[in-house]
Amino acid sequence: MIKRYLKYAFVFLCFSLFTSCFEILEEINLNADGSGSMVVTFNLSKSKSKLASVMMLDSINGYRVPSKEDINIALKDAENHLKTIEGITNIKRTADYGNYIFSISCDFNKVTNLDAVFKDLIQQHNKRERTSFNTTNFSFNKEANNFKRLFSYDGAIKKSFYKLKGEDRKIFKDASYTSIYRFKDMVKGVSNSNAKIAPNKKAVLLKIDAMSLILGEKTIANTVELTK
Amino acid sequence: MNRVLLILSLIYLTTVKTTAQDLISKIPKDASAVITLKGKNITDLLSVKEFENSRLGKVFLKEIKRDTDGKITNLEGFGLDLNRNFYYFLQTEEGVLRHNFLVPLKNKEAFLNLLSEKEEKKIVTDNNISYFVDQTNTITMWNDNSLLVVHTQQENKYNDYSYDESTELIEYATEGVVEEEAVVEYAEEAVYPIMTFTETEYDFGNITEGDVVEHSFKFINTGDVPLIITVAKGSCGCTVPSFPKEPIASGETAEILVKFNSKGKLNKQSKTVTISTNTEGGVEKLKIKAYVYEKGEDVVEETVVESIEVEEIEIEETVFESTEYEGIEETVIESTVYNNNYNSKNNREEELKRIEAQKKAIEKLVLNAKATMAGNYASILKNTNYVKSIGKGTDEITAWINDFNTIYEDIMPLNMFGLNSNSMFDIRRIYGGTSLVSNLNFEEDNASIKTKYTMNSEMASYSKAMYNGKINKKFFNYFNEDKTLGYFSINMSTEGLLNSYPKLMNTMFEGIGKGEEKDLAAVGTRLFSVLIDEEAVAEIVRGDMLFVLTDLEEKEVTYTTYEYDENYESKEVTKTKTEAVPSFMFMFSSTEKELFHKIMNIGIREGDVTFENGIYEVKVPDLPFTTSINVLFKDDVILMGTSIEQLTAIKNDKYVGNVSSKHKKLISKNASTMYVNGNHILEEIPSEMFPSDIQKEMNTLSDYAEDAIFKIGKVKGNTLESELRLNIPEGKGHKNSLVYFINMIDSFLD
Repeated sequence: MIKRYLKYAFVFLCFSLFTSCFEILEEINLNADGSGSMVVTFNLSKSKSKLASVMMLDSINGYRVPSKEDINIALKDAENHLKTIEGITNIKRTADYGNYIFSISCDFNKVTNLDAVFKDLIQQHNKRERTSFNTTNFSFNKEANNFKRLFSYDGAIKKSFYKLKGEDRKIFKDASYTSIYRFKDMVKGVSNSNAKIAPNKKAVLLKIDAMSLILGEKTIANTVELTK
Repeated sequence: MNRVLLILSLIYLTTVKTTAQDLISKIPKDASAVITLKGKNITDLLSVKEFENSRLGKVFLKEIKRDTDGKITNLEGFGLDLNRNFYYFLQTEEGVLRHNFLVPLKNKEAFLNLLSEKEEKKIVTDNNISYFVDQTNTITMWNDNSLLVVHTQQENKYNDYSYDESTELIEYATEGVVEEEAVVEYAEEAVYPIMTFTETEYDFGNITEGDVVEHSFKFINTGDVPLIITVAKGSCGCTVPSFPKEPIASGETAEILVKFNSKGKLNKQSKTVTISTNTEGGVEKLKIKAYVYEKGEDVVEETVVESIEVEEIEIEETVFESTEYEGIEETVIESTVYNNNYNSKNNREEELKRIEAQKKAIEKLVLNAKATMAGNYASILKNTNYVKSIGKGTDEITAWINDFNTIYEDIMPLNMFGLNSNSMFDIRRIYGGTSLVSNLNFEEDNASIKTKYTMNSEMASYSKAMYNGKINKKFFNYFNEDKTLGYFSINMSTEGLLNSYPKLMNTMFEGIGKGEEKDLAAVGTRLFSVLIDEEAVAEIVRGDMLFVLTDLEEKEVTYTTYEYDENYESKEVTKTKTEAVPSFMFMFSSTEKELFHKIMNIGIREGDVTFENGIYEVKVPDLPFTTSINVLFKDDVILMGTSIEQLTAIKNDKYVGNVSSKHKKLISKNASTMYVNGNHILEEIPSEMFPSDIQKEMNTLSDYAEDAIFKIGKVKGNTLESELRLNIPEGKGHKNSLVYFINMIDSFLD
């Protein structure tokens, strides 16, 4: 009991001092026939002092703090959702509460399978919030041998960002989004000027800071031309 | 001596000058609150030119220029006299609040130039006074040298709401009962089913009035025990949910069908379905939405609908105008066209009444404003309470609130807060004779807000007892001022607090009068004093405490990130970063040494606490670095701190405290003090913790950091004073504290 009281008092003191930020990593390995595997990783380990403190509290800044169970349920929900999509197999999820790293991975038969994962969710969101996000995120054209990451910026992102309290906005200041696409064929060129091609010409890396993405200054949209 | 003379003559000159044309004579003696912005005092500190030349001023003017389509390019453009006093005052009268803004005009033409065409058309001129009315509750009136804006606010309209609320409350209360029953059933296991919906909100989109639409919400019981739905209700009779009556096993899916009948509904509709379940929260909510069009109406796109709405609003406004100046008949015809609801005779009569009431409200608004402009009555300067409280300081802004009780009585509808004959609290005894004065003052080397709260003698006697604590002088031995980032002290008397509390409760419940509640309250409070032995409690916590922030310790924390080889294969790598963890010492007086050791021993038995060399150690778990809080009982003082070294030194009488008389006085003479050593903190916080764009400005930042103090004094007579003071760093080129703030804002406006 004593420990709990002192713990709260201490956490309360430290809380505002700890800094926070996060990374999102999207990796796709694409085979020549259009099948492949995908891993999405949420890495919050740079914020672990803050998160460890937050997790001791029930609510913070008026938000309820999710428990480990809540997070597990959310991950399980994501997994359940993936299971309903045709052509998606080998679904795996990891959760490391010591470092606050969560990931979910799967194999897909076709790039369109991957697309179906988000299609419903985005459609619902567009309808609810009257946004116009594209419902197709990935496409692979075998004929032209190009892989596309599609993304259309919607002003709604900026709007909801500015709706956040100043304190909550800080989280995005040092956050980043990284995508890595690996191919069997050689990469001829990429459309996104911020993307880099690996020396072996078989991978493309694109790292964008969250603020540029939120404000619409940079995009994650990219077309990768592969050699036929 | 010369300086004193100079100041005296300056004060004399300004008072002579201000009484000659000051707008204060227009504020009635019975105003409930007055705020004064002393133009001259402000422009003396920072001239209009200086402000316009500052970066902040430039940004401000640029915005203004854009907003006014280039009509205004400098502060003069507003036509206001910035060297005179600006006033706000509040009048209260039978549930109506009148907010008055009195502004000195220098150039009437410049002000008129700012009005919109629409406003210009509404101007009525009567002798040397002109005005226009917005809606029915705001009037703008002016003559050659002053401008008055009055906004009225009806407070008694809450009567209508309070009724609705109470019915809703009853509804919730019944739901609450169902909840409890469900909880009782599963209380022993404390495991709950979880209702996971695929969606909790559904939008039917555009439908036509009379349509009956339905949607089924699918869900899975993702919990480990069966889910039982006791009842599901729609927020209106038009929304009917049907739900499975059988328990839903863990992992099983089911659905809730919601039917929405749009008969009689129009426009945007949003309904809630409340499901009472045995889940942890007891209640789950679903939402449906629809946009209902009238039959025969073409379904139009959202954007078109919006523009129609805008048109409607504008039409309504013109209706108001015609009410004022053209007569009623025509208005009614117009509104009939635009609102089908007014078709029935009844509604038409009501509408007529409404218009009549509006007309009267506007007449009253104009009459009141004219009376204020004329100012032919005893002004606030005849109110001795006001004159005495405000004084003749060099403050830049002063705020004064008269008797709280009168304001409460005037503005609160009788049945709000139980102020009617069956009143729960006797507001008069608590707030009677209470007033407040607040001054904002920019001095050369500091800026301060001083607040003086005056209460009635009864309240003052209770407060005095509570704040009559004496700080333990031993605290000063355990604290070194040079190593302090800040501190927070409380100097209360637990005994006085516990003594006053029952009396205070009795006072509050005095108003209950007739009923049994009075006896109950009295019994309750008496019981409190019997059960709680004030002296005994006061021995455990005497009421004086001091929290000292001594340092910000840098702790290394590892984190995981990714590196990519030349083929962009990602690889997890571990890096380190620094977090600042506060070091502190918290102390409070206690004479209950035995009880303290007993409590700590329970901790040891529970495994939370370890005991070594006379010091208890409590580890703070779950953090990515190790830290602990150490506790020591020494000479009637309990000390808790992060530094074991400091505590060991204190225990062995090796620690040397160092506190200047300035801080000793601050801590012991006030009921509570908060002190922040701005410069010191800035040095201690690791620079990497600042956002990268501020790191470059660290040097500039230190030009602005200095001490800040917030103190609440002890009760003297019937008043309680508090002060927030920010000291301005010397020799950094800030002419005075107002300029300091402008400079500070400027340095961040790059």
